[in-house]
This record gives sequence, structure tokens and C-alpha cells, in this order.
Amino acid sequence: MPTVRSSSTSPDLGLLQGTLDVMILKALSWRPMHGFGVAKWIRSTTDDVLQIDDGALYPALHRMEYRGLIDADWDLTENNRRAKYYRLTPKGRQQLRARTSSWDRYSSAVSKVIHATVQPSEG
Amino acid sequence: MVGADTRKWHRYLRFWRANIAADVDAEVAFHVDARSEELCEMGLDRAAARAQALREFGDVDLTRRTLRTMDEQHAASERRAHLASDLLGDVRVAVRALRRSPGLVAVVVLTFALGIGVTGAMYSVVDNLLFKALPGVHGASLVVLGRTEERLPQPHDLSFPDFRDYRADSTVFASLAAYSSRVVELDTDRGADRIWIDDATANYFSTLGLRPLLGRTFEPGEDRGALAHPVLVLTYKAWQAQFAGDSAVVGRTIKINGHPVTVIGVMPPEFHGVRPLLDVDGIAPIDQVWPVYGATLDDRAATAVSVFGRLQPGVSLSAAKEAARVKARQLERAYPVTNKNVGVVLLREQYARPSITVAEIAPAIAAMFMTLVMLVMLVACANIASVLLARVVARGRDLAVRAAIGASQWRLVRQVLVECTLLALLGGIGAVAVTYGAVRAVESINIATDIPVRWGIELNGRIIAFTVIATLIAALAAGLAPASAARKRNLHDVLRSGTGNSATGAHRRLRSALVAGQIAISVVVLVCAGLFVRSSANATRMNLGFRTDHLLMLSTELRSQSYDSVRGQQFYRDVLRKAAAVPGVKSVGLSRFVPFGYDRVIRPIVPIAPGVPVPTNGFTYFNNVVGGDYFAAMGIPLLEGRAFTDRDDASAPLVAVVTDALVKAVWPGQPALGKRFRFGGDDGPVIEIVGVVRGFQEMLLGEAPKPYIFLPVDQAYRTPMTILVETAADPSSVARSIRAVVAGLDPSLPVFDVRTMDDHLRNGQAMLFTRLGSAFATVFGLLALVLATIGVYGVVSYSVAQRTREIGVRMALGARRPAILRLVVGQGLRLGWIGLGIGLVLSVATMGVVSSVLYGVGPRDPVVLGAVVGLLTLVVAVASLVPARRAMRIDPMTSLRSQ
Repeated sequence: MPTVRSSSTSPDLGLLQGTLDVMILKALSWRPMHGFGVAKWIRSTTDDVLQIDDGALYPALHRMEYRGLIDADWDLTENNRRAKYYRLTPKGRQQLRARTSSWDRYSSAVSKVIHATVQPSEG
Repeated sequence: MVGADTRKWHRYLRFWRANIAADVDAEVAFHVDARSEELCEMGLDRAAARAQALREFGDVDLTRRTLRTMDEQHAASERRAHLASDLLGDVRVAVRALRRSPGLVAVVVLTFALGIGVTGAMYSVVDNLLFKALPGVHGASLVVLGRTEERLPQPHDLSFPDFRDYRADSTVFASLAAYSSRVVELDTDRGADRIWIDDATANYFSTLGLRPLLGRTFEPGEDRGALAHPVLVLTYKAWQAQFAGDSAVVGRTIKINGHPVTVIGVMPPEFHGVRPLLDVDGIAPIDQVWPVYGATLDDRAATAVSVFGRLQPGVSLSAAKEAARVKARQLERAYPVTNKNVGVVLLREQYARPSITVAEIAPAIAAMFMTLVMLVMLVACANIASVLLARVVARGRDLAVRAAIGASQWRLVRQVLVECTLLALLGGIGAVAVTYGAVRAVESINIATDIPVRWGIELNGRIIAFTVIATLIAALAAGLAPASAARKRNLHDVLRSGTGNSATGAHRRLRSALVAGQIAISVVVLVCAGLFVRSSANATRMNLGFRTDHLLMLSTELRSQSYDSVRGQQFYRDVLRKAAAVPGVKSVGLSRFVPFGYDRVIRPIVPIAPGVPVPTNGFTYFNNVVGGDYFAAMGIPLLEGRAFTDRDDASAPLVAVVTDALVKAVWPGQPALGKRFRFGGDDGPVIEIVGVVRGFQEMLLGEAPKPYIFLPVDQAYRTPMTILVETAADPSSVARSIRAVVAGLDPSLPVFDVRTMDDHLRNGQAMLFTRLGSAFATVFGLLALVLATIGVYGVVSYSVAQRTREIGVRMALGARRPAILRLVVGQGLRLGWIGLGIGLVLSVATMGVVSSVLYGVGPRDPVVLGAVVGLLTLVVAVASLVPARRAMRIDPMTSLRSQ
């Protein structure tokens, strides 16, 4: 199972597996990438707030491949090294859209609660 | 990025043998390397960068292992899915291909249906007879006991005192029950109905472990004291037939043989009694239904009861056998008069069906017929193999091209096997219909007896499993040759031979071998059938030692509330006198037992004669009670002395007539007339021999006549009796008049078992099984013959089609039509003779097995062997003549131009 660390300085978000999947889908939505590329993109985008074990990424990638959300091919990098590239399938793109909209609804709901200014009425 | 070509190449490699471990390692290694390099570029030194990269990655080894396991599991499930979808594809291709050749499908499916169907039907009969367990918790684990005697070839029933002694040995038997089947009269609104009941010990149902549907079964002790507990448990069949399934019948008092009996329970429908083939109507505790057994139950010489039971847990069959043998020797020492040389057999209940007197014979015969029928199935499979082989060869180009574009050999073999299995499955469905029809035919076989016979064949799990397995074996057997032919397809050969169907020599030889093989098997089956037919014919012609034609038999039973021995004997005298006066009647006799009937009694005699070496036990022989002109009507010749007369009545000295075999056994080389013996044991009445008749067969066809004692009915009253009427013309023509004679004397008397002696022998136990055997064997033989004929026809006409060009060339070069005919028919006959030769050798080698059940015909009977050779030669010749005529009509010009 992928293990997720959170740094002591950052809030414990209790990163769910589904969240990791969404981040991978988002990363690959730009262009096909190898696993290292995905890890790098996530690290830079989150400004190191989420510290994910790089190793945790791969089981997720393989599982998503089996499920047909992404496709994998061996290819050569700019430095002429053999690497496994992952690419979003149409099914994966659809999944990303669905997950994004449900995340938006979820986070805005939680956000409203946290930033609420109205005190609960008595009685 | 790199070109699409490289990517395709990698994809291809991955498809063809993905190396999961290497791929996972490479992926992980790339990640760590790439991160290290990145960190180096950010200023870290090489070692620190690598350490940091590894730390960030987490547990490298665990990740590798996890990924490998995941990928392997996924790949395996992918492979399974592929295989299933490939198989589905094969099935679709096969269905399409078969729909294009409906004729072939019809022939193959029909052949499968017949082959599997007759096998299934035969198995159904055997299954019911031998394998189906009796109902009840303990139904499957029962044993039976039988009494053996020195002079009797088969075991038979036990005496009741012996049974009690065996039952007392509770270290061996957990439970031992006894019963005796008989016919009684049930009073109904319509009059008296004859029904069959088992008189049984009270533990009958608990031994089986069987609970009633309604009411109760017997309580311990209900079998003690004559007529003390007159109760009856009905079978489901009798409950429906006699009481219309009315549940209020439990507790009701009915009348059996004119005496009140209380119905206490009804059994579930699966129970039909313990004796296979017999469908009884009810079970009563022994000695509780009138007339009672009286002294018979205390008589060690009376073989009165059939015995079944179950062993104590942990007691092996062989240990039980040994214990029974020891007990038999103890009884022999304790009761030397009745039990001298009396032994015991203990068998699994299934091995003593349908009765202990044929113990272990039925399984042997069943095994023989199963073998015969399997051989027929083999012939059917050979035929189908041959047809499909031709099909594979004909599709040569198609297969070769598929092989050339990369279909693996396994793919092609699988395609052929799938096609064959599909055909076999269709055939299997047809086989169920054939089985059903054949089973109905068996059930409708008329057995000349008033005994309610129940074949009881029903579709059960074993029969279904058997059919499924037979179907799969048939598919495999029939598909193997064509499949291997498909495997050996060779593009080079196909392209070289212009026709596309490269009928290479190997394939022709394979088909020829198949046909020769099926002819050989047909020979074996036909020889067996021929032997049975001859044996059956011999049996009907056999001199049994008594009259078998112009003899009518009717039985009547004097219900004893109105008949005592005096009235009964008067009734017999009246019947004899009036029947003899009927026009067309030559002589009339009475007899307690008829030869080849379903019951007989055995009693000891003790000779009273100075100088005769009398064994202390006396002698134990069959006896019969007769009246009127019995010997004349039966055509049993008197050798010495006189037959019984009217003066041999109750007031006269007791007399007997015996067979020559008895004289030879007891007083060898001495005059028999005037010799006296005690009948029934040391304290029995003294009887004098007044006549000697020639011995006759009465129990097993072909047996040597046994010692036999006749007593006059006026001195030994018995009922029921069979009236034997010798007629001048057709015996059945006087049946009505004789019935009228009985009815004229007492209209309330039942008259039953009305039939001619000829009918009794042919359709009764004397010859029924021989005749059934020959009928079954003949059907199998003809089936095998038809299949072999189709095989020969197929091979020869196929070869004619293949050799059209060659024949055209021969004709163009001046060959005449008769020469062509000889060429083609000769090819067929060569095959036929090779098969015949092998078949005859096989027959001679194996038929010794059946010789024990044949009458007057040896396993190498020249008539049968000659007939089979002639028949097969003829059939093979005719089967090749049809294609030969086609060959003769070949026009040389057309055939040469066509290619």
C-alpha cells in the first residue's frame, strides 16, 4: 500500500488514495509523462506541502493502468534513456472531470463551514 | 520524443513476453536515477544525491515486490480472459462452419446420439439393477445372507431359526432383518384383489433406516406371537391404487385373506420393498397375517426367509464373512440333521440382485453387456472420426493458409476439437431422447408373471454424469485423429499438390485403419449376438424332460375360511373330473409347483432301509404335491412302478413317486420300488416309493435333473394349486372352459396365472433373460454393422473422388469398366477382410467369457463365425459397389480436363 507522509509543519490532510489518483490524472492531463515526471510535477505544484513517498506513486499508476484510466508505453527520454511513459486515456480524462467537480463541491462545502461567521441560534 | 515505430516495437515485445520483473526494476531504477541527477544539478554531490533520492522514494524493495505481485496477478487474469474469449471465438467459427454443412451435422449428430444413447440406456438398466441404493439412511450399506448347500449350485434363503442365530451375533451385525414375499387377498368393494406383501421381522424398517410418510412402522415385538399384532404398512403405490391416497386409511381395519388387519402407516414413494424388480403393496410383521407360518418358523430345514442387514461400524466385510462362516460351522455341529453341509454366504446387497439365487451372476452379465455397448460407441466414434478426418483433409488449403499467417498448431487443433465437442454435445442431447425411448422399450417388456415387476429406471445423477462423461470421451475419441491431422498440415505439401486437399498417404491410411478397426469391433459384437441368438434358439428346442407344448396352466387358491383339507380335496377331485370332460382336453393334472416357477420347497428325507449308508443328516430334496393325471399331462415318463391313483387317499398307506436321480443318489444300484423313508426328518411320517419317473429340468436351463419327490394331494393337502391341462389343439382355446369349470364350483375363487407352458417358459424366468440377452445383443450387433457399413462407404467413395483423375487416366489408357469395378470394390474388400481377420482373432480370444451363459453352443461355433464372415463380406461389397458404379461412369476426358 502506498504510504503517505505529511511533514510535521504542514496540516495533516489525511491524504486519501482517491486524492492521489486525481493528482496523477491531473498531472497526465498536460502531456504523457513517466512516473518521475508525475512526482516532480506534484512536488512543485504543491510547494512541498504534501510530501508523498515517491514509491507510493507507482502502485497507483499500475492500478490505474489496469482500470484503463491511463495507458503505458516504454519510450526514450531526451537523454536517450528507456522510461515508462503514462498517457491519459479518454476514460481517464472523463474520470478527471468527474472527480474535479465533486472535489470542488466538497471543498467549498467544507470551506463554508470552516469560515462561517453566523453563530448557531439558541434553542 | 521518439518515433512511432520504436514505440510499436516495444509494444510488440511487451505483448509477446512481458518480463514483469525486469520492467518493474527498470521503472524504479529510472526514477531513482532521474531524481539523483536532478539533485546533483541542484548542487549535491553524487552520493548525497542518491541517498536523498532513495529516502524520498520510501521502501524501494517493498515497492518493487508490491508492483511485481500486482502485475503478475493482473497478467494472469488477462490470460484467463483471453482464453475464454478465444474459446468463444472458436465456438462461433465452428457454428458458422457447421451451419454450412447440415448433411454432415445430421449424420454425425445421429451417430453420436445412437452411440451415446444405447450406452446410456444400457447403463440405466444396469444402474437400477446394480448400483442404485435402497431407500433409507442405511440403504447403501446393506449386506445379505444366503444359505449354501453342497448339492445346490446357487445360494438361497435362510431358515428362520438359522436367521435368529445369526442375528444373535451382535458383535458382527448392527441389525439383521428377515422377510418373505407372498401373495394375499385384500377384500375390496370390487371383490378380492391379489396383492403382494412382505412378511417381515419388526426391525425391517429400522434396518433400512426408513421413516414412514404417514402413521408409524413396526414396534419391537410386534412380530412375536402368531396373529397377536395384525398390522400392515402400505407402500405408496398400494395407498394410491387401493385407497386413492386417503390419509384416513391409517388406523382403519381392512380384511386380508378374510381376517382383520389394521393399517398403521404409509411409506414414502421411493420405497418399493427390498427385493429389486418386485413392487410390493405392503409390509406386515411376520406371522401376523393369516394364514400364519406355524411350524415353518421353527423348522431349520425350511428355507423360509430372505435376510438383509447391516454390519456393526468398524466390522469389515471380510471379517463379517469369516464370522458368518464360523457361525455356520457351529450350527452344523449343533443341528446335524438339518444343517449338515449347510454353509452361508455374506454379500453386499448390490451383488445379490435381483435375488440371492443369482448372486454375482447379474454383475458379470451386466459387465458383459456394458462392454458390448461401449464397443458400439467406439464404432460410432470411429465413424465420426473418419467423417471429420475427411473434412479436415478437404479443408486443407484453408487450414494451411491459417497456419501460414501465424495461427499456432494448438489453435488449429483446438478449432477441430471444439467443432467435435459441439457435435458431440448436440449428439448428447439426441442421446437423451434415444436413452428415454430405449428405456421405455425395456420397461414395456412383457414378463409372463402376475408378480408386479418394476424396472424402476429413473434418471439420476449417476446416469446424467455417465452420459456427460460418455459424451466427452466420445468427442475426444472422435476428435483425436482429425485434430492430429490438422496439426500435421503443411503449407508446402498443400501448395505442391494443386488441388489444395493434399490427401497424403498418411491420412488415407489413418482413415482406412479406422474403418478396419470398426469392422473388427463389429465382428466381435456380431459374433456375440450370433452366439446369443443360437443359444436362445437352442434353449427353446432343448428337451427339458417335460411337455412344453399343448399345455395350459391356471392357478387357484382355496381361501381357507371356507376350505379345510377335506373340502379342498373334494374340490380338487371335482375340478379334475369336470375339466377332463371338457372337449379337446386330453388329460388334467394338479401341481403345487410348476417347473421354472418362482417358488419351490426343500425337505429332508431319512431312508429306512437296512444296508443303506444313511448319513445322519438324511437327505434334503425338492418336493412337490400333485394330483390327477399329473405325469401324463406333464409328459413325464414313468420308468418303474405306478403313478398315483384315486385309491392313494388319506386312509391308504402314504406313498411317493420319485425321480431316477433320487434313486441314484439314495439307493444307487438298488431297486427303488418298496423302499421307504421318513419325510421331513427323523420323526416324520413313513412313506413308501411306488413309482419312479425320469428326471427333468426345473430350475436352471441345461441343468442335470435333480432328485425330486412327488406326494399325492389326497395325502398331503396344499393350496394354491396349478391346474395343468393337456389339450389336443391350441391350449389357450380351452382356457375359458376351464375357468368356467372353476367358477361353476365356486364363483368366489380367484383364478390367476392363466397361460400356456410355452408362454411361461419363453417369457418367464426360464428363458426371458436369454431372450432379452439375444435381443439386446442383436440390436447392438446390427447397430455396429450399420455404422461399419457407413464407414466403408465413406472411405471408398472418398477415395473414388480423390482418384477421379487417376481412374480417368487408366480409362484413357484402355482400362475397361469391369477392371475399374474390381479396383474399387477390391479396395473395400481388402479393408473389410483386414478388419474381419482382426475381429475373428479378437472374438475367439474373448468369447470364452460368455460361454458360461450359452446353451448348446461353443464360443467358436462355426455356424456363427461363418455367418458373420459372410454377412460382413456381403455388406462391405455392397457398400463399395455404390461408389464403384460412380467410378465406372467417370468420363476420361472430363476428369482430365477438370484439373
